[in-house]
Amino acid sequence: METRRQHSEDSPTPTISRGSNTGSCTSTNRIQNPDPIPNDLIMEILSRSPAKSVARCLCLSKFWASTLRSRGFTDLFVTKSSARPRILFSFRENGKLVFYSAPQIQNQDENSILVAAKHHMVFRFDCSELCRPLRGLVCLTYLRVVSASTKNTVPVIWNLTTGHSLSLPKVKTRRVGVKSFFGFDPIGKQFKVLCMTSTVYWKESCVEHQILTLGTKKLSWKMIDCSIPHYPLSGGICINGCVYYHALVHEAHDVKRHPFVPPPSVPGIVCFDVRSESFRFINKAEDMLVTEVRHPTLADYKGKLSVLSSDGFEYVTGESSCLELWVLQDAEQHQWSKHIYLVPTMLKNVVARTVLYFVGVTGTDEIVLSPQYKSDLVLSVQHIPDQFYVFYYNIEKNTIRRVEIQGMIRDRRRIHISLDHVENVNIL
Amino acid sequence: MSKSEKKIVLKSLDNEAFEVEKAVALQSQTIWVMCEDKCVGNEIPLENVTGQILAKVIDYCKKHAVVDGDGDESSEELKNWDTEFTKNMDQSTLFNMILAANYLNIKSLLNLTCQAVADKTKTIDEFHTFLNIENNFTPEEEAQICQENLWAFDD
Repeated sequence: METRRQHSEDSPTPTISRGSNTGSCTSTNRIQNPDPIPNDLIMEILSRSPAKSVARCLCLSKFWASTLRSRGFTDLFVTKSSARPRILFSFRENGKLVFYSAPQIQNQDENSILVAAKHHMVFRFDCSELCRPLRGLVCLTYLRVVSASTKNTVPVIWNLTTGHSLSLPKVKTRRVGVKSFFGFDPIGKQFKVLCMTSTVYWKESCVEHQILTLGTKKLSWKMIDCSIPHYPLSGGICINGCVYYHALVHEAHDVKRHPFVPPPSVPGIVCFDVRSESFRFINKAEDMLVTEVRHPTLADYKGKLSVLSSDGFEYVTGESSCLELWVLQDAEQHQWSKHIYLVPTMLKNVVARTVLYFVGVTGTDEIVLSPQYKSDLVLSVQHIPDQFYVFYYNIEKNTIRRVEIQGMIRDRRRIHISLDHVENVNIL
Repeated sequence: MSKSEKKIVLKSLDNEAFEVEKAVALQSQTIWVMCEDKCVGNEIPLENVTGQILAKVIDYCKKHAVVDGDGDESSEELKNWDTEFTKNMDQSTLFNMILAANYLNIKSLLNLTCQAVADKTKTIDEFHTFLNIENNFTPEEEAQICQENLWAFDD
């Protein structure tokens, strides 16, 4: 009811009245449409409009400027936008981070589709870490050089739709190895950034766990306790208010007695509850292959955490026989369900020439794969084809769709792809 | 059930009568409630909808009543039909279709028509005219908002 309250405050003589048959026609353009459209219907229309239209409509009137900036509307807009999800690409190149997106085409029968990529923006600093985009926002961290001996880790939140950004206070640490995660609490409707720092010794447990809540008046880091000594192995994925990531979890270890022996550790998944700001450890499924250097792709499968691999690897080759999909059924009980699919012949034909990496699973039961050219592989430019494809494998229908993404830059090394990108008109 | 009970008569604002299958008309929650309440006979007066608009609403309901029972193989066809349905509607018709879908409480038609307006309306002038909203900003205030949102005005 916030919007109606604003209505009376902002606009003592409202230009629109609710309900029908009450509008008196005072200006000439009202003759055509004698009944005014109720405000809730205008909200319906604008929540389905492209983000640019919404931003233009900030100029409609004072009432609409405040309504379209309200939390109620921006949340509605994200919800409507998620009905037409996009696939988001980011490239790193010479200290720049470049973003493109394309429609994530759903429920189409054609097996070869062409879509145009839309260029979003370029960041001109070398970000050290990019968190998976969440509700149209990305969180990236970079090292700000203060002096020869001082470097600060600074996270920045970017709205990829509007280009607005928000620099957060520097992370509270003297260390430079900062791991960051971006989460959203759907109940409190709050974004939070979680950071922790790694010690000098490689893959020892991280320390200095801290959290920052967006939208608060004074943005500041709050130190939190972490009851599970662990070292994150992968980036995080936020699903229904929990951020999940692969981690090495360390068992109790007496450093004084065994100073030169690394503590015993087990690989598993850490779940960070964004609302309660607490950590939980989830055992990996027994036959899930996770090591310090190999960890299968985490994905959102119908609102549940899922893990994708092919014969235990995080990529598909011409030799691969099966695709595995684990779904976390019960986090408390560490219960996973496992689904196995034979690699379809068409995919095998494709991967004869390249290697496909898992991107995720769409809301319409499709596993998304993409060729990826790792930066550490020495590749001559000739090896990178002009076309860039994404493959959608429908696990229900056992069909493959090939989608060509057009209009992206040619050098596609160091690419990061994520699904279900939405537009967001929230001003940071 | 006799043949007559399966049919229902909808009467528009300008007294145009349409005889339709009950299954077609009951996609409107408003008509459904009226029939449930038995407060009306076989003829339902719809005081907010003109005959011209009601005819289009009935076209939509007929299409959706028939195809919905056929399973999902026709969902693509239905989607194409919906696109064609709104494609050539002028702004004034779309405007009245939204009001009618809202009054008759046909959610899918309301979604469809709102989306059609959202797709067709682009410039601020079009929004002003269509939504019938007067600009109460000073030129300076308006310029300030444009300045803050340059990304939206770059083409």
